[in-house]
Amino acid sequence: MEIWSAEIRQSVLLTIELAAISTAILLVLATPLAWWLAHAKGWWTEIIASVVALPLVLPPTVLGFYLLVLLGPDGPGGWIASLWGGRTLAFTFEGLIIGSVVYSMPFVVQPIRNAFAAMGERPLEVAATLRASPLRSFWTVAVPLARPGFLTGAVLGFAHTVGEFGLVLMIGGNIPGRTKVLSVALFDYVETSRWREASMLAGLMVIFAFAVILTMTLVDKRAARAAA
Amino acid sequence: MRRSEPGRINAAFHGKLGNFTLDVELSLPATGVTAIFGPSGCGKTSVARCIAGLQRMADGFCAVDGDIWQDGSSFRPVHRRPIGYVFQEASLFPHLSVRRNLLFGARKVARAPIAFDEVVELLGLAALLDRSPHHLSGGERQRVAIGRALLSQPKLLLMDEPLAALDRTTKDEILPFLERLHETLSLPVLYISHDMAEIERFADHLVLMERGRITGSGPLHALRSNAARLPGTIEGRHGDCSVRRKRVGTRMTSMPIDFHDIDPNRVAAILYRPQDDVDGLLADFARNLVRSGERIGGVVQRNVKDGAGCQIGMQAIDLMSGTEISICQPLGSGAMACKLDAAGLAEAAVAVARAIAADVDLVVINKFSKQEAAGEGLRDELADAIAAGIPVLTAVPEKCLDAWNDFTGGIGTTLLCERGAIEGWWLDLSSRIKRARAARLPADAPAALLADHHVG
Repeated sequence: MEIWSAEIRQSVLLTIELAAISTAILLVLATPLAWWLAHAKGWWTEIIASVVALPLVLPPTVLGFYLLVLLGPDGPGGWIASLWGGRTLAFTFEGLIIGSVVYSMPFVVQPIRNAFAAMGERPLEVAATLRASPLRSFWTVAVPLARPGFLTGAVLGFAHTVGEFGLVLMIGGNIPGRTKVLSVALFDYVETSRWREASMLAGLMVIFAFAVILTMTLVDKRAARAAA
Repeated sequence: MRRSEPGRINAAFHGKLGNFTLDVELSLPATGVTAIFGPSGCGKTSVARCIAGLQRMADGFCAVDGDIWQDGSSFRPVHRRPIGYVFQEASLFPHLSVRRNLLFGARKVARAPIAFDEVVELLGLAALLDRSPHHLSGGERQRVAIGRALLSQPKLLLMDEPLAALDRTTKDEILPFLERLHETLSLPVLYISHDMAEIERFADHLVLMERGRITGSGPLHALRSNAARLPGTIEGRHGDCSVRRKRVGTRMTSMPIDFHDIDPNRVAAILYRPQDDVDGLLADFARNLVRSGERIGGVVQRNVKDGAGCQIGMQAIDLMSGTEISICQPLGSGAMACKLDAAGLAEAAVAVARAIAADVDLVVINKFSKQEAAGEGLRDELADAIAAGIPVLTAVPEKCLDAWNDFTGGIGTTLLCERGAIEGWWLDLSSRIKRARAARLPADAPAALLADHHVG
């Protein structure tokens, strides 16, 4: 099938790679952050929470602009990169990962935070009275109980990274094989009037979005059944 | 009490707690079951949480069996304290099977003092092991929670109202397990409850709490009998706790009472007919005594009337604290058949126990009627007060006179249902007591001997 061209395959694979790596990094960063947000009681908690949630409201291009300034040759990112002789992260795959992580953070933090908050202190208190260290309580009680939150967070983080356009264009550009992800490729095809490829990609995205929503609904249902 | 002693639990916690201050000093034997009893919101749960380390009071001290868990400079985190904690809700881990819940805190020691099979057998869990907590009844869950706490090999088991969230039937299903637990394991237990009936079934030692303070502490049987006359000696008598009190019948003092060395003048029963307002008479008499500064305790009742003067209920009053215990509604309009419900009765029982422990000059208990004649109600409290040698005033309906005489063995005086008769009895008795006291000749010789013995 000629339509499944190397070009399209490349951008699909690149997109999946970007989303997978971003999601992994997101889970690692969001978990302690969500834990802290769910348990801290100070007034500054909500300030941090609002900062994390900013990408929900900000236009992605604004976020992309600031990241570009930060990562570009004249920004602090460029300065740090120059210390070890590396090049700047703007218009690179790594830069895209950083951008995606920042952009998708609220979608991952929020469900995990809610899951931690919903379980309350009691299971952890019980674990502590059963001689479980805080670390053991976390892994054997908190994480399993928050599993639906983790699943929702991971799926949302992955899906948002796949679908992001404005931010990717700002800090990644449109370099085939390096930063040309699905959404940018679609835009590119439309620009150059390659409608067959464009509709192919758009269709793929629709199927993907449908699968994501269906998966989440099923996961939710399963979790609700397990809790009943 | 801020010192560590082997064989004892010493704890002190001071600090603000919601709208009152927790101000607690405890020294308890690290054996047997100690019940902390008090109304909801009195801070008893906080005491348990502080001992467990779940709550941290800045000004606190806690030492168990020679081991300091908290003092001015150190605070041992919960997971390093050898405790078992049973919460009001079972709080099982929903993602683990019953077996894995039970084994969560079980440590891999070769010779654990509390074995898995033993706990399964003791609590009847064999059929539940592979089930998920979602598929257990409330009572089954609580049994698993108790087993789980036991298997963490605690040196102290804290139970925070483990039965409060359960209905009557389920409670009755679990209580025998708790009793077996107490008989089988030599594990000190701190049992928090607001239900005196539960406590009476298996506690050895009782701590009374109210509004963040301890209002009494001692062996259960001492708080309920002779030794309670001598508050100073209660603390010195912890040794008795190890002796398990045997229950006879439904409640402990259903056994015959030996009143032979009680001064008969000290026990008075107002004999009344159905048409007499004995409640009002007794309540007014007691109120006057309280006003004139006499040290009296016990429970009286007063009719509650609506605007038209029609009786709509009954209110019991704790004479020592002046607090109203409960209002109960009559069964039908104008019916006089209203009585305290189970909770009110338990509170009334504590009011009397506290009065006995405080060694008041007179205990008023309203009244010895059909319930008491049948061995229920406040019969045990009446017996305790009489046995403690404290003057007792009660009211007996004419039709229950025989039951009353059987109960007391015929000692005591009967009074007419008239204000003059009651006041006359009290004036005579109190003046004799005061004379005896002034002459430093205790009116009650056996109690005095006991006092000397313990002081010496």
